[in-house]
Amino acid sequence: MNSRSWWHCWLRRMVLALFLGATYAPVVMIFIYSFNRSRLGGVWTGFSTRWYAELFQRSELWKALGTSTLIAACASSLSTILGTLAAFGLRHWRRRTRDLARGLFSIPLVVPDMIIGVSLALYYHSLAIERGLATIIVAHMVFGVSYAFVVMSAAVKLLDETLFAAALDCGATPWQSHRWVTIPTLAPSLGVAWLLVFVMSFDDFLITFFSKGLGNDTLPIKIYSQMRFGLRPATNALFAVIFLVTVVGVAVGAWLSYRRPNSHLGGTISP
Amino acid sequence: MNGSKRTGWMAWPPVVFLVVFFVVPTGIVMSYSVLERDFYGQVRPHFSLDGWRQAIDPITLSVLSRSVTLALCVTFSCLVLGYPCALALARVGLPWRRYWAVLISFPLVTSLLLRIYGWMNLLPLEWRGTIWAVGLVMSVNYLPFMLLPLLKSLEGMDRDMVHAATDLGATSWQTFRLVTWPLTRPGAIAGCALVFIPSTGDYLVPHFFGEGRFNVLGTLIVQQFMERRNWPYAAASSLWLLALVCVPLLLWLGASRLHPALTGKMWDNVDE
Amino acid sequence: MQTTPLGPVKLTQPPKLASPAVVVRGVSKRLTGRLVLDDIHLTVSQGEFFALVGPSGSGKSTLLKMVSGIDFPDSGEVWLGGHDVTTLPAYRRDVHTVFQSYALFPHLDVQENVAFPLRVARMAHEEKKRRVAQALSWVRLDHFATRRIDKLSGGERQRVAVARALVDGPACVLLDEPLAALDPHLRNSTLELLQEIQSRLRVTYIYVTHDRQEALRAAGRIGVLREGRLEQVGAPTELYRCPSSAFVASFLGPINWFEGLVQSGGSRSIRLRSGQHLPLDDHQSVETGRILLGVRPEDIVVGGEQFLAAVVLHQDFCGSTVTLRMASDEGVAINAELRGDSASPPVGARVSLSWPPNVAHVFPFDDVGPTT
Repeated sequence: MNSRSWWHCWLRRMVLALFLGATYAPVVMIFIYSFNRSRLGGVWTGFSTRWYAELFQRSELWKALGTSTLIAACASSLSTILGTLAAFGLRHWRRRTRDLARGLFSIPLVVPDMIIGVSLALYYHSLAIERGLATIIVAHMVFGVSYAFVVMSAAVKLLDETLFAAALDCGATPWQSHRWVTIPTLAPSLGVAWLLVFVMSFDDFLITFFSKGLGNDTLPIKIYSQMRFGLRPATNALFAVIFLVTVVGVAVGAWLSYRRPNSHLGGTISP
Repeated sequence: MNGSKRTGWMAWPPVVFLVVFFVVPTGIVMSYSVLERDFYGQVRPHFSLDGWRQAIDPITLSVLSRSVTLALCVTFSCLVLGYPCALALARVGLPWRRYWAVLISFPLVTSLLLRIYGWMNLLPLEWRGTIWAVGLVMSVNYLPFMLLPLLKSLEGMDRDMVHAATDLGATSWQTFRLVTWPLTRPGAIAGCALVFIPSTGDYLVPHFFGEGRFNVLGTLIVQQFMERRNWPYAAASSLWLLALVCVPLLLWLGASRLHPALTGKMWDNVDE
Repeated sequence: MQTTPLGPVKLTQPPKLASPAVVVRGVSKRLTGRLVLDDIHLTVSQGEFFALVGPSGSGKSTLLKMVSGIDFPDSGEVWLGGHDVTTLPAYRRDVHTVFQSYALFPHLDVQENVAFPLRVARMAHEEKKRRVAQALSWVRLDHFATRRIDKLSGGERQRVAVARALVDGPACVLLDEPLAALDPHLRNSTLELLQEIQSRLRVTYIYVTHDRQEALRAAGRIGVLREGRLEQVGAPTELYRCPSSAFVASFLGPINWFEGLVQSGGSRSIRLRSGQHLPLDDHQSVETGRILLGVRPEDIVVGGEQFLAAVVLHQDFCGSTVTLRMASDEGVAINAELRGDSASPPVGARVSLSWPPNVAHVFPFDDVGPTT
């Protein structure tokens, strides 16, 4: 049995290594090529940061970055609010309607983006709504509210009902109890929800593609139009930067997640 | 707690929002598919079955079958590739497993364009324009959607079951087939649904790696909507997409009603 | 608690010397259609350790919520310290609860948790610190002030919850099954600590438990709740020796029940199903009909006079005592408790059982479940 388990062990490591490689090889390549002096993708001519420098001068990229950030910030703030309201409110619905509503919130997460995009584009047209920033924000909120709901309903479930009663019992008015107990306990999850929707909105392409008007180009849209003309080395640098920003965002989200209260903080037998 | 009944009203704004901006628009697609299109690409409020007629002609049907086949192949390869990964990951000790979970789900929050671009750097030029390249990139892309539910159900499985099977004389393959697979089937089914449904409507990967040589449903809809401005036809094609999505969804919901043990809860698995 | 135009004011000394700490008058409560509390009348004096016992679902926690103000009765009144607080919400009442799940605030550390009631009352910083340190010393957690809640053991969390309930000197503390989640060996020491705090600070306790040993040990008075009604209230010895119903007798300790018939009014015996007769004492006057005769295991005399015979099935050695598990001729299970050093008959032996006069309890027939 010894050699068999040894073989198993190495097999497992190989599988994991392969998996990591396949998943992250593209990203690694982007980083490598972003420092490639040559214009051509396949040939390495030396180390250079010229592409990063070039990025700084591209004003239309900065404008697109601003648009993306604005849209993402609005969409995530509004989505987090709506998602939290849903998480709190649905607790007190009757079971049948509650399950229906839960299903409603889950569907945007599962259906292809295409459906959301096309349906909203036709919808805006049928109502003769002019497409602009607001239409994009609303479109992002469709999946944003769903993501926020998923995060916040888990958080609200963990929120011990007796904590509110305990605060009242200690002499705090309902308002004080919410301010000093409910909100601080929920704060990390609110942060996670906000960050999640922000990242999803920032990276979104297809839905934005369908719901934007003229001139409101987000960063992914800009990148897409450039990619049609083939590979460009400066795009590598841009992607590298975006990737690093995402890493920072995820790190912050993970730290917040760590600060969420655990579910077993009550009277359970522990050593 | 007094007043707890009153907070039920809170859920109405988000529900109304989703109904207004998600449910209703999806219904609007239906109505657009039966409208008339004039020469210049505008939509006229006349009833016309042109959109539907085009949606069932041989070209569309071949695109449809290609999309379904592609989605099925991608789902299958994710399943086959994902199970060994999940099995390997389930054995990893606890603190490390959390880091692995982050590593797995991290690509999901990076831009899809970034991942596509990276693959374009990697793939040899001859592979571009083939459906194999599209399938490969899609499979790697959707792997986390398969891995996370699988991992969750593997973690939920009592490890002693595997030990019991081995103790009773089963080989590795038998243990997998007779114990692990049945017990983790809910996770596998959830993973398949989470991979199949988005794959049917994928646009970016087929667009960049197919290089316009063939159409799948996603590229067809965008083409008809943006370039050809044939909105009734695009709407009708979107109805096909809806149907492709609804069928597995309804099957899954129905299965979870009849056999709660067979399928997991949908929203438990849609998690970061 | 006095309400002034500026809001509620907690009084620092007992308001009227004679008024009891808690008075519950005719309180009833219906939850999801079920009558959980049925016309409860209860008075708890100041400085008393009052235990509220009963099986699960008997309404103990609900009654606690009526007193603390987390929930409100459908009818009846609640008075605290001589003031009618029936309509006052929890945050205006001078009573604190130690919750079963402790309900410690996870985002605050130990001293912030304990200081919470003081923070709410906007106490000055120095005074707050002093009181928190004092409360922590009462529960022997002096050096735990800055610990995070999730780093504490169950017993430590429980003591933090107690400290938080005591820190602003309430007139009454409600404890909802405080020992239920603790390891058995921890329960003893924690109960002793709770008793010590109670007697030292002379704070009123209403202590809810389903464990009769705790109640018998620690309480000055016990109230037995059954399906929303208070069956009996009294001192532990009183309840144990003179239970007012078969339910109370059964709840407070193991007891052997014999079901039988009293055939006529002046009859001095009851007739068991097998036709055997058991004697009734002179002072027990019963009506004709089905009755239950109960004898505690420690009162059963083995090997003396014979009221009935039984076969020894098993001996349970419990250290200072030995429990004999026996079966009578008609299959009724009987337990007898003997002192550990006395000679006990071997398994399989046939023994004669009797009991001294005036120890048996007689009640009208009631469904009390199997002999414990």
